[in-house]
Amino acid sequence: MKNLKLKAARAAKDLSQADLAQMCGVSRQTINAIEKGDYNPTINLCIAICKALGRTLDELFWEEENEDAE
Amino acid sequence: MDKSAGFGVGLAVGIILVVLLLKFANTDHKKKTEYDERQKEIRGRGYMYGFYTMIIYETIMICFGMSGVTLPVAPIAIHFTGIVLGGVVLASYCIWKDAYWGLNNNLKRYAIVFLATAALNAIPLIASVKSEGFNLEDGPILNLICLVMLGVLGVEFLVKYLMDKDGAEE
Repeated sequence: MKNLKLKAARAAKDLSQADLAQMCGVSRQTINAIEKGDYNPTINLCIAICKALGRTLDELFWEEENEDAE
Repeated sequence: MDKSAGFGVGLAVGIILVVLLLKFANTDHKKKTEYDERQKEIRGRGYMYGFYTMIIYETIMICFGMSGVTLPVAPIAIHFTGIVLGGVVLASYCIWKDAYWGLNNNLKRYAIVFLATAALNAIPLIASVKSEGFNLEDGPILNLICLVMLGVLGVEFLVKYLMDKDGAEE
């Protein structure tokens, strides 16, 4: 499932995937894979992304049940 | 210098060159390439596929040996091909899954390392073909195998680069 919340939060900060990747110490392709839902990051990487974007884990990675159904 | 001593010296020089070139090719001048968690996971799978490839290849070669089939190449080349095959499977899997290049790799410098490696393998091969003709049993077959491997990986890099060029960031 695509992580549109992460993509929106990144866009809101006017960051490219490469910028966010550099801030989190990962490759651009890894950020791309997370946004596309192809890769489930570890909790450490989730926290690094949240800190870089100034968001909480719930805001970026928590899926409500009705969201899953959509 | 006999052939085995020549092979040993060539291998030692190759290892020293690789270490020096890797230090030059990484942006932080460390020999070790750093990968992120996704890349490490993919590389783990790549090593598994490479290992299975090598096992299957060596099993086939053992079957050939037991059934009395002799291949028209030097025995060292048969085992070297198995190692290279495993390496190519690992590298190919990592290239397609974006886990080949590490976080501290400088791609332009790596391209120079690749070209230098190709040249170092091409020179003895060309010299041997010129002096003795093409000989699979006694010529510099290992150099030829390395060149084929570099060629395959080079084509894969190119195809992957062209595929990613347009839609890199959605």
